Amino acid sequence: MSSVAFDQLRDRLLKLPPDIIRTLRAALELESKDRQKLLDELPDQQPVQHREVKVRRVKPRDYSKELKWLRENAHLYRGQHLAVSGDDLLAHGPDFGEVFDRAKATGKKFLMDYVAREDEVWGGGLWL
Amino acid sequence: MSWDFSFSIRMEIVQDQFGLRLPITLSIAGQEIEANAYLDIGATYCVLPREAGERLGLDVEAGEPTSLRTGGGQMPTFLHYANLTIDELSFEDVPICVAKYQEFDRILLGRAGWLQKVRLNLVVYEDSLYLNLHGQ
Repeated sequence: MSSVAFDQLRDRLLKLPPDIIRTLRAALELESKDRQKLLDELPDQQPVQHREVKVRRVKPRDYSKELKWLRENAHLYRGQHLAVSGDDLLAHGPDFGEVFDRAKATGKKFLMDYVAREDEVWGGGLWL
Repeated sequence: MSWDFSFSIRMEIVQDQFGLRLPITLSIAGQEIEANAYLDIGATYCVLPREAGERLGLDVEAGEPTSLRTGGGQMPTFLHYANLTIDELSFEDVPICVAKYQEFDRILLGRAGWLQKVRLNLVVYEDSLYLNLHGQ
């Protein structure tokens, strides 16, 4: 393996999540015969075959009150998830699940939103 | 030369320095989440926080393991399918990725399953997004 390929591989491996690194380390430490056996058993990654998406028309929901409230107030809740129903804030906090569960317990319909912190800038998309 | 298009749907968007958000509904078997999602047409898939996937009733790790590439490295997710509603258009069986780790905490609206089926026009200075089913 060329040093360029080694460097690229190392850079990619170092960015993997800790549990995958542990699995990789265990695989690399196998006896060479077992390592080859494992390599032979690994499936080639197949492209994902998606289901066919169907489209139908539904009655649109009116979020004008929620969006107006968010335009006027969201900046007060930086770094938090919000659950807004009409012009009422049902719940807010840093944890999506907790905010969702508290809002759902009210029995009202609500719109979840996340308000980015002031220092957050989105760097780009996610792809396969 | 100019091209003229017409659109039957106009949606309000909310903007901040992180991006553009628009209201969507995700549903699976009667469980649903209405949320503002960040529009990210650079992303292949819609991506959800793990807690959102769980609130939709998903067994998150039963989905197909799918590693997404990001500028900061690989992001492990699990692929599932959901119904995605944007205004009056409901897209059934849209592939969505649910983040494996809880650190990912927002909803991204990527391309798969819906963007190929619409015409989209974005007028940021009017906080407006226009949609029409392609071919209609």
